[in-house]
Amino acid sequence: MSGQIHSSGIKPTEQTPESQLLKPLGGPQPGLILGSLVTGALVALLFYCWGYQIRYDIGVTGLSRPNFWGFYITNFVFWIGISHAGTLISAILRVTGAEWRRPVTRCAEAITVFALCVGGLLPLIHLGRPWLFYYMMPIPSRNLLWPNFNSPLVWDILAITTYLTGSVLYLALPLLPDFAILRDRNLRSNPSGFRARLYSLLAAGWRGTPQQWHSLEQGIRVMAIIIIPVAVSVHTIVSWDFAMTLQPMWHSTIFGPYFVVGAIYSGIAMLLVTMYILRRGLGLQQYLSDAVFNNLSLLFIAMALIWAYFTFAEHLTVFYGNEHAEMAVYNERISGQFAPYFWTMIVLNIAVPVFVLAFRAGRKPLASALVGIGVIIGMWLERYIIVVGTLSVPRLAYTSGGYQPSWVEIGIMISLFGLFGFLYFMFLQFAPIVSIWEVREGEHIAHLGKAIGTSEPMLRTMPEES
Amino acid sequence: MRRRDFLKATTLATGVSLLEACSGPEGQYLVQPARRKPGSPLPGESTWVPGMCQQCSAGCGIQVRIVDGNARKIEGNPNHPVNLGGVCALGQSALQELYNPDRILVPQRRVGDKGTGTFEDTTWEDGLTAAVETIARTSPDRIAIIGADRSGLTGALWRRFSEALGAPAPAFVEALELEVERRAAQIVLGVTDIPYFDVSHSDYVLSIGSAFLDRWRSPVHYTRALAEMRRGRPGRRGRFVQAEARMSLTAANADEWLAVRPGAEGILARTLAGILLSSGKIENDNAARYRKLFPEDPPRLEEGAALCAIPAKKIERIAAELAAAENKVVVAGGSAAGHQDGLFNVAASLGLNVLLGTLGKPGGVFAPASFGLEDGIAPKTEPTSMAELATRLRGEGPAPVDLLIVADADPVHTLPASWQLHATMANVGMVIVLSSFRTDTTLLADLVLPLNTQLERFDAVAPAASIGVPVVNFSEPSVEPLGDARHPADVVLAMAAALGEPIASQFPWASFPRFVEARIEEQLEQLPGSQGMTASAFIRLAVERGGIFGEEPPSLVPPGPLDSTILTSEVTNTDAREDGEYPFLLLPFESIKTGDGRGANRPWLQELPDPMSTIMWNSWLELSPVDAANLGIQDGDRLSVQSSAGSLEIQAVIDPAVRPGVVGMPLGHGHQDYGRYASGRGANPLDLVEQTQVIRTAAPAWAATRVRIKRLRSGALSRFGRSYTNEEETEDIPVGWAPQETSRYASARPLPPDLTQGTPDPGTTELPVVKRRRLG
Amino acid sequence: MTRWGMVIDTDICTGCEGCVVACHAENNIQTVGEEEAAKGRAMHWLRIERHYEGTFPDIKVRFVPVLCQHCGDAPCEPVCPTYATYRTPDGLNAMVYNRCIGTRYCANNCPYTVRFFNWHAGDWPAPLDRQLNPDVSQRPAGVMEKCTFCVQRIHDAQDTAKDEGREVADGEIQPACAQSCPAQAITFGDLNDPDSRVAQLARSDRATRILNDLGTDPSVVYLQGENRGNQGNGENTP
Repeated sequence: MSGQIHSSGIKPTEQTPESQLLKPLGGPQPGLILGSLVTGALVALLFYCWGYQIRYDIGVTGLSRPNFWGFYITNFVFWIGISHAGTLISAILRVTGAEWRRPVTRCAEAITVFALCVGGLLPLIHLGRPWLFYYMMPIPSRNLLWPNFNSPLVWDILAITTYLTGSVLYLALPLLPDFAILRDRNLRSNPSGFRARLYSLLAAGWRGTPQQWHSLEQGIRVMAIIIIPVAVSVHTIVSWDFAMTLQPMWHSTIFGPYFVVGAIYSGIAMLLVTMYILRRGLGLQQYLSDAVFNNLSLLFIAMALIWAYFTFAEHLTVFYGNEHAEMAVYNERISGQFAPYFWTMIVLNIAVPVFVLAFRAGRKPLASALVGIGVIIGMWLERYIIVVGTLSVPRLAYTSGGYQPSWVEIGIMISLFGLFGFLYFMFLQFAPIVSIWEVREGEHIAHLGKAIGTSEPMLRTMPEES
Repeated sequence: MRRRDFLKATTLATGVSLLEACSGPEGQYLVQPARRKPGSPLPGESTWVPGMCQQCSAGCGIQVRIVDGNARKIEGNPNHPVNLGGVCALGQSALQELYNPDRILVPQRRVGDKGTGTFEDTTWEDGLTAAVETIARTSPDRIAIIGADRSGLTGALWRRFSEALGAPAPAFVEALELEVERRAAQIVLGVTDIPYFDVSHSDYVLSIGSAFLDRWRSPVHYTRALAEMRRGRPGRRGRFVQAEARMSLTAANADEWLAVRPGAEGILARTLAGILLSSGKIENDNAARYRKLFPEDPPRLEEGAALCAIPAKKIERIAAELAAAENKVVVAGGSAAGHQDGLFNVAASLGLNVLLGTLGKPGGVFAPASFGLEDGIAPKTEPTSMAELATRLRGEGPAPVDLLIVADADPVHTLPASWQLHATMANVGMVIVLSSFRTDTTLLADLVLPLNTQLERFDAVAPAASIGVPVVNFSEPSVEPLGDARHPADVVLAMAAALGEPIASQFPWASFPRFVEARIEEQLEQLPGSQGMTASAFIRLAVERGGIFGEEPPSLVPPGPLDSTILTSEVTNTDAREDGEYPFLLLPFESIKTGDGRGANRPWLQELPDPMSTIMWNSWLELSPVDAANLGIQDGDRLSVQSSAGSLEIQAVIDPAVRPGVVGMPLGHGHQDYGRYASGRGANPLDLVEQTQVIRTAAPAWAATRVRIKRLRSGALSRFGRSYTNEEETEDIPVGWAPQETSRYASARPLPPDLTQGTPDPGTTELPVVKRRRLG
Repeated sequence: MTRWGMVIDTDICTGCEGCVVACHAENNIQTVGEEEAAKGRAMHWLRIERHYEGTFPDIKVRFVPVLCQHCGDAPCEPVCPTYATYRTPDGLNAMVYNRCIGTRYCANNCPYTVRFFNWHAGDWPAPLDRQLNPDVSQRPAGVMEKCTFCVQRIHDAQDTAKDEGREVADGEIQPACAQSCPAQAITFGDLNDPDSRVAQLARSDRATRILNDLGTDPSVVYLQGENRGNQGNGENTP
């Protein structure tokens, strides 16, 4: 081939499934605008609640002695956990060559990045003096003092910023070819418009040359491999916020892997829910197909079983050890004031997923999304039980106390879901939620494989542009 | 204008405006004049000024830290014999009395309806004029004076004043049990005031009813005495048994608590006496003296044990321990005095000292000691009792009351509501209240004259609770007075002077310090350490030291024959009255936080958790888990409590140490308006107490009221520690339990080497014999 | 090297809480008010824990004053991201208020629950603010605080001794709680000086430390009381 190689593979007038993907990006869509406004209002609520808290001191929360951590840390761990969706799908499935991941990678990575943005706000929100947050960062200061690298909170900062950076890169890189496609479309239809200029900027000069493709593939492959240990380390480090203390039922060696498993589990749940909403809202049945949901649900039930195993192991060893302080926490969890939350969690995280997803009908999109909602709630409860359940039952029982979240904490929690939604809605209006070039690549490989008589991907080149 | 003046003016103006600018937000910077008086402290430098604590009648010696003219901290005076450097919670909080934002600092005149406490500022001149005019035109038999300082110099001035006016003797408001205790001491020991119990040198202390570590008599002194009894003599640890109807802080600290049935304290004492008498271990002289006091046969062991609800074997053991101890003492008083046969209870308990021969012996009972500074100021007539005055106020006395002066007391809050003081005082034509705060009594005033507080005044006060040796505290002001408040004695002197002859000549002293100086002058020879000094020099010395301290305890003369019919028990058991309508006995008690109520306006004390219930900012009703279960009451529930005299609403605390059938409630709350920290908070148990009196006295039987309880709705209390819910904590402790073995506080491994170096010094007094023993 | 420590004799502590109020007065501790206190935000750096044992009428009570133990191996120190709490060379667990950003991690890791957080700034309506101790900073909202062994008094004594060219004498430094205690149950001093009163008392065979098996190496030693209560020798059977 010689001459210009166009990077758009379809003629603008063709009606393809891809036009479903491109529809949100062609102009204002009433549904998306409405969604952005509603979630935008929640973002405004976030500003209000957080501003109120800064103005009237952190005492406006329901925290107290001994519950020094409550909703904010629960939500922090929750959102960081949600962020593991992308890593599993894009990275692990990519590295292991699972082809069904292709339609799903981008919406999963988007969840990762936005969940990290939301979750990363929470350590700031929960501070007593948030305007001094930079004391925790290893930047040179006039005080000639570095942060305390012994502290798991400093590890958190380092880990989360690393993960966020990596995830943004990992989201941005595969966006380049798709931005190029959009640039070319918009240049053809409305060269002087805002979108044409936006996508020209975002595409960063992508021409689709073999060298560029090669660099892109290299970059994505490297990121995929790197991001997996980073993700594992992030949630391990977040779990070490608890495990590195000596509090009963926090100080447990199982926390690292337990939290990573829980994170992946909750991440898949959020992914299932998001996928279902996208499928229905944007008409993406072709891409987010029943088969994809089925495969994801199989992964989901596997994670449910692993999570159940870890939970069982943790509780059995505590029970057998019969150590006084731990049993006080354990009893509150199993049969005391936290029992309603604990058993709800067990039902939502183990009973429902296993019994529903074991059947093919249960792995249909709607069913699995509903199970996903249950798991999201269940995993949130798990974090709450761990954080508040231990703190309420201190070793010196004289100082036990209860915790009631205040309206500020509830408001911030709800508005953070809104922030997540808002970021997602904005993203939907500027980037295709299914990676166009990856899906095409997958189709091409399958087509080639059929032609040659094998299902193995043999060639990794883009189809001929016409 | 000349140039020089112009420059000066502009410089001054600039300087002033710069100063204003430099003063920062809310006076952040302290602008100091360049010149200061030589010898005055630098900014930020501390000086320590000796003083006396007047938060209760114990009279501890303190020192105050002054920085930049403000009092910052109160510490004990280590050389003062009452407290030896210790300060209790109430004493520490005195600074919040001094700097209380709701203090009355200028005289007030009533402008609204009586009882609403609507006042406007007035001047001392106008106030005193109004007071004196009223006194002058009121018939003396219609004047009534209520004071707080029964046995001190200020009280003596009030007594002199009422004598000069021809008015009836003043009445004094004091702790509810004191009258009965005094009477019992008079009968049993022949002394005029409550004796001193030498706990620190004792080997066995049996306290019947007297919560001497709570707010009884001299808590700081007795706390130190108990500490010395336990750990002050190496190898010799005294034993302390508390027989009390409820588990007070004192009972909680006892080696053993005898949960005697309320009202049966006297029976317990008499039963013990019976065992002792028949044991053959009592000296004949002592037995004879005892029998003169109590000629009746003591109750039989089984009968006595049943009546006071203590197992017979336990009573036998206590008697044996008492007899066997080398130094012993029986402390008596407190809640035992609050029942109808309170006089019998206290007298019978005190009588055990006579039986055991502890009078004047180390570790025993000593006569109250006093320098008698107030002798001769006023006639020795008995003060009017508050009960009698209450009768007069109700219009049932010989003459109504047209003028009432209340000096530094709060009778409306600290006496039972059934005495109707609130309503009857409101009917008095003119009520003059000398007070710093809007107490329940102050709200009824027509004229309020503000009093200064302990750190702003010169004073000379003898501790009301004797510590065995005579003591008089002296203090000078340690801070500039806030506002325009005065000492109550100065108010008396000012009124006397304004009344003119013939009264003024009986008060020839220009001020209270002059008066004290005159007294000291008269008695100089008798006062220790005064040789060769003038009165004013001696007072200087006394102020520096904190007071005048005697050395020798007066001897205790064993009592002669007395009218012993006073002491037979007429009512054996107040809660034997089977009363279905009022099934519970109410036991009010003084909490260490609020005392008689004066501490309620201090945020430190309101936020201080009560040591037993851990409740903050409120009062409560404590009931036993058994009663709570029967009534379906949970911890914190709101209850309605009713007696035949009144009712109130209160919240419940479930307390495992409460006797079934009995409920307890702390005094000190339930003020109508005592400042922002106290007003409308909690309830006052004295609203429920009936008008019953202790037999043969004019004192209220404040522990003899029965109540019924109704649950209103659920609620929650501000609690600092965990409520009693954990059953683990009630495991029976096996016999021979050693704290190290089972307690979760125990050390599981030996102490690290840096704590076990060196050898113990055998000369140190506080150590038991040390054996280096590995634990665990 | 000095190691500041304390011995508390629980046999003579009566739970009167004079020490608690003294600590408030000395250290400018805020009073939070009823609503906040109900939420569990009262700031009693030193508290008297009251423990019941047994059932009526054979019920016993133990009072244990609990304050920051100034642990040799303090679990609160490594977890603070900003070094706002650290161990001084002379054995204090120090609190650096202006470094604290309020993550509250230290309070979570304290097994004794002796750390307190300023949920709001303190409020001293005039003229109560005239009582404030000028040697102790007032903490703003968002900052953690706890017992400092009255470090201002330690420094004051050390400065005075230095001015006078001598060593600090044993017993010269008394934290507010120790000085106020009516029973003199609290003794303070240098645990590493074998002749000091506190070291001698710590060698008593009544000595123990709270939660010692956690390995926190507290600097506060408790002298336990006698076995209180009756002998249980069949007295309660009718």
